[in-house]
Parts: sequence; structure tokens; C-alpha cells
Amino acid sequence: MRNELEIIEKIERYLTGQLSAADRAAFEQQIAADADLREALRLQQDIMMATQRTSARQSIQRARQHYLRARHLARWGGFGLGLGLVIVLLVVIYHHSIVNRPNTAASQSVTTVNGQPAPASPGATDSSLQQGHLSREAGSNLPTKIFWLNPVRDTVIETKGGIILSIPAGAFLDAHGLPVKNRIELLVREALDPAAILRSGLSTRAGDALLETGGMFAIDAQLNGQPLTIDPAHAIIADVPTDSVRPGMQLFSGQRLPDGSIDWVNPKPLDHDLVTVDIGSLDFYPPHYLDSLRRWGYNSNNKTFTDSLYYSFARFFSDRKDEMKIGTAEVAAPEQQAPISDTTITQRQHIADATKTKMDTSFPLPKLNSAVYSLPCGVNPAKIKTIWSSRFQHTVIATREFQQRLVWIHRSGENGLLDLYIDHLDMDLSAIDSMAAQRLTGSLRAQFLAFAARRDGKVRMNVRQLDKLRDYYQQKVTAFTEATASILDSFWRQQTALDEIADDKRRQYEADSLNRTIRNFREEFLVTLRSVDLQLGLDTAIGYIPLPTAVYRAEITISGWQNIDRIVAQAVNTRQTTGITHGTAQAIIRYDPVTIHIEEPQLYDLINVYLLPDKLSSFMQLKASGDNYTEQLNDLMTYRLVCIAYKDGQAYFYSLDRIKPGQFQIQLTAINNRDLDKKLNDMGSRTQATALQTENGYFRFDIRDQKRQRHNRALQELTDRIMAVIFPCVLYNYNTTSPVSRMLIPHSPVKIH
Amino acid sequence: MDDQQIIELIRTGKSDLALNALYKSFPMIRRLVRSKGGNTKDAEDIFQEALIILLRKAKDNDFKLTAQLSTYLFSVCRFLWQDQLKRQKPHLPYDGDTGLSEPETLELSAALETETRIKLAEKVLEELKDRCRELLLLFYTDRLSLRDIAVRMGYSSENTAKNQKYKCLEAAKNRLKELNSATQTF
Repeated sequence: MRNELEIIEKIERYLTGQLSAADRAAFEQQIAADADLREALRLQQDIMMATQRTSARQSIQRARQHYLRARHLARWGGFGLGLGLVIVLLVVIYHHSIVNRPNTAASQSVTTVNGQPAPASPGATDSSLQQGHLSREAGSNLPTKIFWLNPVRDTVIETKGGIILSIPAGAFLDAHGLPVKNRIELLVREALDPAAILRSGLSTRAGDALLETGGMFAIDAQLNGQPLTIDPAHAIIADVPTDSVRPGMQLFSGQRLPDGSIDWVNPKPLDHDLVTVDIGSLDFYPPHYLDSLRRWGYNSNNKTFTDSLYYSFARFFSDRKDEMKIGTAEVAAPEQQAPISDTTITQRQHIADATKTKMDTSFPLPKLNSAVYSLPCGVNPAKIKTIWSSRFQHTVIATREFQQRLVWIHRSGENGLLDLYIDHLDMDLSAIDSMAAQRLTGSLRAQFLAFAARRDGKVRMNVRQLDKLRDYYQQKVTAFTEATASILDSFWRQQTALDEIADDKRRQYEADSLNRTIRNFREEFLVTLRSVDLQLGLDTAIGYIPLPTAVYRAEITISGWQNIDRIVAQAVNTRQTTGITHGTAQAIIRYDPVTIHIEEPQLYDLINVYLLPDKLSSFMQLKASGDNYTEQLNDLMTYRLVCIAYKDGQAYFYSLDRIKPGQFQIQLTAINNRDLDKKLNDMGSRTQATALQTENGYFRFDIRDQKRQRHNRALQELTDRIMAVIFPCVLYNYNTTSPVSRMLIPHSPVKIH
Repeated sequence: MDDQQIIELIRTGKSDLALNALYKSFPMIRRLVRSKGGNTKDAEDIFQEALIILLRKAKDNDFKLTAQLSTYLFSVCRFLWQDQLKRQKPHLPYDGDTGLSEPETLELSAALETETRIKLAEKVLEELKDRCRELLLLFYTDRLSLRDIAVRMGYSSENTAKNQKYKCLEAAKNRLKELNSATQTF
């Protein structure tokens, strides 16, 4: 225990800089050597820093309180002293909850001002009376927040209660009706919770009727004490937070009555302008697209990849006529949604632009699955690509509300639905929802009716902008679709051609190998036979040259001189040491084994071991048995050993000029391709060197091509899997025996019915 | 008060006054966060983290301000918010422009990593018994002497306080060690 205390103390002194330079150095050496001590030090340091962090947070919270209080203070006291304010009260009646700021907001344009100058001025003799009068006024005891703003610029203000005021440039007019240029004061009061409303004495009456109220606020503007009016052409948009938008909500103006209270009059229906967000922050992919990719181990963070994959499916919406195999009978090609209205020159330009769009073909692209060429349903990804761009920023497309619709449009698989929304960019979303519902049935219809019931509004646009976007949409969609289809078609055509080339090469290689085996045998046979004849003192004329029995299975039954031939043939075939007696002469054919062991064979993708006999025109390839390569060497020839191996495209090499029977351990060394070629050039005779180079060339090609083929297979697999996710409508709308639905993944997306 | 004064206040242990002045930058931060998809609470959290980082850096005598403090805070907050968004919504595209140079970004990443680690230690502190935590805070941040702590917390002697402190520290260290090894096995 004592020792631990000492350690803790020492660590503490070290961390607080209390050790002398010498002690510190010594301690640091200790730390370097002792892992436990290092850990103890780290833990203690963390705890120490954690206490500092806790203390810092407490300080920050105190500063925050101080800041919030300062914002509240002082000003509204000035209000009572009479600043010549125009009291304007506009009431919005909403259910709301201030606890968590929700996403939806309802905006109202503030365009009317009911001006009634407050009868107060500083220093007036009966100011006390007036103050008393003022303090009886409803809303007068609400704290006021004063904002200073430059009316020449757009300003956005958020109040404590969460009301957002969007004030456009030039919103305020002076007494002459001219826009104000100097800095002005904007005074805002709000009573958004029931307690505040009660305290403020604000009424909830509209004439004789009681209104359901949740909140009210007041906006005043002044310059040097002079009241300002709001220019109706530059309305202030006020967004009040609300949990739920209740139908029937209206905007009431406040009219001050002689007794100081406020009557609510002139109800107007509310605008439900939508709030646009950065279109890049929205997710327009089909539901579960990114999740599925993530689940299958792909990088769903890489937007280039996820875009490239998803948009490549646009090819199914091309109406190219050249390949038309359709899977199920009830399939019809999807209709082109809109005719191309622009000139052909512009169209070509769009296609040219689209093809310039780099489609990264190192990423997965769907292959033409000949069983399904065109899909029975599904939203064309080219349309998504077109709208998910900066061109549609600040339109109704760039809203969370639209994103919600899009999820269901994907599920429905109806391109027409999507077009509906694009065609009516300036319409209230709820109106388009209704139109959409009309076209649908069943639960989809119910869903869009539910959307319509939210009464979501619009995003204001001017007509010219609208038309330009509509045209852009039509042309770009066609251009993308065609470009995608054309790029992908040519990619897969190229792959098919490459596949055929690979097949050809392989066939050639196999034929070559077979021929070589036959040739090797014949040559070795001749050499051996000549030697035997010499040993036996016989004429070395050759009768016939047999073929290795590996190729011909027929028994050789010829006797006489050919007996020797047969024995020699057999000896060469079986590569066994054989003795031949002929009369009194004796000949011997010697074969001795050589075993080659490559060090660490598992490191390599491919290993080839060759022997180059000096009397043959080509090489022999050795077969592996386990970790070893064995062969029987004919003592009439000298052999050169060559080993070539590959790993991931890197070549490895070993050679030995003269290898004799025995056991050998070989270690390969890395070599670059050019050097390898040079070495092979010097191996053995001219024909041998050429043969080796051809062989090596084939393997180099094969390695690369295998990679290409593996890549393509992976693409194909991914395509098949993701199709069902991107086009969920296919699973649920059609006959389950269709080829597409056989691509079902085990976990299906949400069922619609 | 100017930036140099604020840094002085931090260095001499008068952080409260410094923070009051620094909090004036909050509206700007809130606008930043809200314009990038966050709400006011997010802005407050990000601002707090940035202030914590600033407090740590300011105490280091090597810290040199090359721009205004408010600009520095702004850059840090932008970095922190973008980092948080990347973690919460990794599939969205982000523009790489944080207005920071490469070494600055590296420095901030390192600072963020440190703070994340310390947050874990803070969790440990919260789990401690109240008196334990109180003791450690008094010692390490208020820098009270053991004698004063003994008086404040009602211990019989300075030694008792010392022993208690070690016990608390050991408990905290052990718990932190547990948590560390738990978080390492993903």
C-alpha cells in the first residue's frame, strides 16, 4: 500500500511539474521501461484532466446563464418610459410545444400593420398617468428584445421562444413610404406559453368568440423613435415552431380597444411555406439502399461509389431497341415520360454533356441480365440524379417534406408520380399529394392522402425559373439514361470480347502444352535410342518413332529390332532406369530422381517449375506433389532449372544452370517483368527460350485476366442483389415466379401491403 | 476586453470572467450550426466543446493566437460540427473546406481525440460517490491544500484526507481501466 501511495504521489508531482529536471528525466526513463507504470500514469492523467473538464463545463454553464440573463435585462424597462412605439400585434393561433424544437414550421407573411401610436412621450407631465395607462395595456409587461438590424440587407432573427423572422432587404418604409437605409430597431415581444399569455393580459377573444390560442407575438420597428411600416412587397416571414399543424389555423390581426385590451380580427388563412434545406443534406436514394450496402460489407460512405452504382441502373429505362429479350410476359417497357421539346442541337449537347460525366467503370455496373432487360416498374435513377443537384436547390425538391414523399415514390415504383411533383414545382405540396393519391390505389393511395392532409405548402418560385427547370429535367433525364445505357453496353460488350480472347488463349495454351509433351517424348526417345544402339553396337537407323503411351493406348506388339525400340520407349515413358541385353552386349538407360522444394510455397499465387534439357527443343514442366516437384533425369542430358512464380502480379524467379539428381531447396527472388524477360532470353537454346517466354507470357496474361473476371463476377453479384433493393416494387407488384423476384435477398425491405 | 486580456484571465485562473466575454461569440456559432442542419442545443454543445478546447490550449504558454479569438472559435466550431455530422450521417457528401490549414486540422483532430478520451474519464468521475468526486475536484481544480480540504469535508486530519484522496483516485483509475478495455473490443 505504501509503495502504491508513493507511486501515485510521484506521478502527481510529475504531472504538475513539481519534479526537478534530473528527477523528471529519471522518471521518464522509468516510464519508458515499465508498461504498468505507463498505464498508471496515463490513467491518473486522464482522471486529472477529467476533473479539469468538469470544472470547465461548470464555468461554461455559468457563463451561459450570465449571457442569457444579460439578453433579457434592462430593455423592456425602457419600453415603459415611452419610446413612441407603434404597437402592432399580430396573433397566430397554434398548438405548440416549446420543449423540443420540431421540424415543421408554419409561416405567416406579416404584411399588415395596424398602427396606433402609443400616447406616450418622454418627459410629458402626465407621464405617470400615461405610464399607468400603458401598463394596463395588454402585452405591455412582456419582456422586449431589441434587435438592431441593417434594413438594406436580408436578416434572419431567432427569438428566445424559437420564432424565426426572415426579414428581406428593404422591408421597412419610413413615414414617406420610402425604404429605410439606416440601422433600425426591431422590438419583439412574445408570449408563447400559456403562463406568459395570462400574465400579459392578452385576450383570446375575436369579437364574442373565444379563440383557442397557444401563442402570440408582437413586432415593432422604429428608426430614431419614429415608427416604421412594413412594405407589403417585402413581407417578413415569421416561422413559429409547432409540433402539429392543426387544420383550420388562421392568422388574426390585433386591434387595440380603448380599454387597452386587444380584439382579434380579420382572420386570414395561413401560408404553409416550406423550409428548404441544403439539397446535399437530403437522402434521395431508395429506402434501405445504403443500409443494404453497408450490411453486405460495401463502403456506403463513398458517395462516388453509391451514386455510380445506383445511377447505373438507369440503363433499364433506355428505349434502345438493339437488345430486346424480355423475361416475363406481362412486362412492358417503361414509357418515356415527356417528349423532348427542345431542338435537337440542345438535345445532342445534353447527351454530350452527360457522356462527359465520368462514369467510373472501376465501380460496379449492372450487366445485361438477358433474362430481364426492361423492368416492369421502378423509378428511373436518372431522374433522381437530375433532381438531386444544385439546380434544384431552393425548390420544393430541396425540402424534407419532399424527401418523405420520395421514399414512397420509390416504393411505388411509379415514374409518373415523380414527374408529377417535378411538373408542379410551384404548387402546394398538399395539392400535388392529392393529385398523386388520385392515381393510386390501396395503401399507397392512403399514404398520399395522409400526406395531403398535412396541408404542406410550397416553395415560392418565379415562372421563368419554373419553366427552365422543367425543360432541364426532361432533357437531362433522357440524356443521362441514354448515356448510361450506352456506356454500360459498350463496357459489357468489351468484357465479352475480352472473355472470348481469354478463352482463345487458354485453348491455345492447352494445345501447345499437349504438343510439347508429345514432342519432348519423341525427342528424348530418339536420343536415348541412339545411345542404346551405340552401347549395343547396333545400327542407329531408326525404324519408327513411337508416340508416348500417354497419348496412344495401343499395345506395341512388334518384335525384333523394334523390341529394343519398345523397351526404350517404355523406359522413356516411365522414366525408369532400364537395362537391355542384346546377345552379349548390354546397354543401360539411367534415370535418377531430382526433388525440388520451393521455400514457403503458400506465399505465391502461382508457381511453375521447368527443366530445360540440353538435347530437347523445348522445356519440361514439372508437376507438384505436395510441396515438392520431382522428376527423373535422363543421364544422357544436362538439365537447367527455371522457376517462375507470381503473387499479385509480382514475379519471382530462380534458375540453376546445371541441376543434378538430388534434393534441392529453392528460394525465389522478386524480379521485375523486363528483367525476367531478359533472363528467359538466355535460358537454354533459342527454341527453348522462345517457348519459355511464350509460356510466361500466357501466365502473365492469365493472372491479369483472372483478376478482371473475378471483378466482373463480383459486380454481377452485387447488381443482382441490389436490384431487389433499388426497385422494391418489382417484388411486390408482380408474379413471384418472375426471374427478377428470384433474386430475392433473404431480408426484404418493408412490405407495402 | 481584448483577446490578450482574455487569455491572461484564463492563465491566471480567472476563467469565469474570460468565459463571460467569450460567450458573446455564441450567436455567431448558433447561426453557423443552424445553417448546417443543427438546432440551438447542438450549437450550445459544440460551443461548449470549443471553449473547453480553447481553455486547454490557452493554458499552454506556447499557444499563439494568429487571428481573433472569435474567428478561432468559429473555425473550431465549424470543424467540430462537421466532424459530428460526418459521424452521424456518414453517407452524405461534405465539402472539405473548413477554412483551416493542414497542420491546424491535424492539431484540432488531435485535440478532439484527447477530449473524447477525457470524456470517458469524466464518465468515471460521475460514477464515483459524491464525496469522492468532490474531494478530487477540490484537490485538482480548486487546488485546495489537503489541510483546507480536511476542514471543508470534515475529515479528522490532513492524513485522513490524503488517504481518502488516494482511495478515490485508485477507484477512479481502476474503473477507467475497465472502461478502457471494454471500449477497445469492438
